[in-house]
Amino acid sequence: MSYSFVKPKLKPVFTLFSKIWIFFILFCTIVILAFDFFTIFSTKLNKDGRENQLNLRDEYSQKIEATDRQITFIKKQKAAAEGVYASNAVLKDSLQNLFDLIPDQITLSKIDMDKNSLIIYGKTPSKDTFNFLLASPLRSIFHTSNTVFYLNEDGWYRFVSTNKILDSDGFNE
Amino acid sequence: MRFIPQRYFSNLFVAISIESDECHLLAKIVKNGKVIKSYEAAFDSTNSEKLDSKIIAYIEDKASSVLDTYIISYFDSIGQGVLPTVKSSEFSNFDVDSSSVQQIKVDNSWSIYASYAQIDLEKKFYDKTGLDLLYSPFVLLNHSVSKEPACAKPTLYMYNHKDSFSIAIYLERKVLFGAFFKTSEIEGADELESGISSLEEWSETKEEQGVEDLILLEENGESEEEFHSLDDLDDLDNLEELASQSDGFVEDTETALIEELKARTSEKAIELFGRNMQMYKYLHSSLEEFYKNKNYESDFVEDIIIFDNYEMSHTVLDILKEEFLVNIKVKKVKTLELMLEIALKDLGL
Repeated sequence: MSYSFVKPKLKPVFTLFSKIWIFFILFCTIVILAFDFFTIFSTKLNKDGRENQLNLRDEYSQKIEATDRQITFIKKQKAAAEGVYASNAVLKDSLQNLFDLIPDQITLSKIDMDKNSLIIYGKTPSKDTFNFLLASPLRSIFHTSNTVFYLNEDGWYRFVSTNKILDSDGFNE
Repeated sequence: MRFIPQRYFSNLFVAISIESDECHLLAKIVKNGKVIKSYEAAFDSTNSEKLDSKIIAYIEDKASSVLDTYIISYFDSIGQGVLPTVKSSEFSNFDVDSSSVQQIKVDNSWSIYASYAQIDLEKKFYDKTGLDLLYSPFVLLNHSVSKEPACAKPTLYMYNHKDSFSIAIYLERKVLFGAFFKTSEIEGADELESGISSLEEWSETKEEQGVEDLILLEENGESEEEFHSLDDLDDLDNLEELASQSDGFVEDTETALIEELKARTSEKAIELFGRNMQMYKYLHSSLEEFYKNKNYESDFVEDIIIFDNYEMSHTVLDILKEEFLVNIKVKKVKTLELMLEIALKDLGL
């Protein structure tokens, strides 16, 4: 309760001028802080982005390595396939050649073809026919060539010719 | 206690009282409830419309190192008083227009009022410095009374100033009656331009009439009789006794008067005596009003306590004692100090 006829009023600590100054300083501080926060925030964003990019780069380089490995593997496979294909072609040629070697008088019943050996089963009218017409070319191709004959009921000879090469090279040719 | 930042800064409090072209000024620099510096000064103040520029310069000089300055003024214009009610609707019973006065409620049992026009004039006077607090002598009187023990019987308290005085009759802590008077010659001492609380300016003539009658009675030496008849003293013997006593007393009074005049030849003493005699007249008329007017719960006043900020003529005190059959105590007070005390409380600093 007041006893004064003029209402007692405390005078403000800050004058209008000071208030304007304080407002200005506060305003500037807020702007600067906002800018600061913006910078910090954007730096953090960029840092995160950079890390992401780095991770992505690592991931990609790993993928590249894997792909490289795959390529090498596929190349090897391709080479192998080409090799198989080539040897198949050679084998085909060899068989072709082998069948070209067989004279009309001789009939083959079975062929066992191995890496270093060739076993031929068949029938021949006589031992000489075989020896002259087939044994000589076989002997020229293989290192060893043995033939076993046994007489069939119809007077023809059955034979088993076992031919071997000492090493595998050149067999297919 | 709530936090007030201003408390922790130095503030200058300037209490000003302007009377008979003299400006008394008490300035204190207060920080955190402690008085750091105190200045006291007196100036001539002939301009009655604006505060003198040299006073403003003085205040500005003292205010150079403080946060703010608070100007506190002593309100001694007529058109103020006290009423024994807080309801503004009851103001009309005392011939006071509640719409044209500002009211301060005290203890929720009585009010101090002052006319807006006079307050505005006071504000205009302090146009340049601004007026922060304005204290009526009744506030100072009440503040002084609150320091006294509560009175069980009606007691008249007076707050005496150089140019004016205010009276209030208290019962316990409640005011029954109060009035404010100007005693300066400028205000027209002979014309009695007083502002008795119950009588505003518009009813002045009535009051003048009353006081003139009183003076007449006094001249005839019958005032005592008249006065005591108010106290319902039915016993005729007593009355006669008193009347005879008063006859003797008037003679005594006259001799004392002459002695006083002789003793104090200086102009000031005469002035003081004149003023005090005027005070006596006003007091007389006020008591008459208090006893006669049915609006007041009147009872016989036995004690007068005077809070004196100026000077009192001992002769007049003796006259008062004899005339009103009362005990008189005079206590010295310093208005400016009291104003600063109340201002600090009001502002919460």
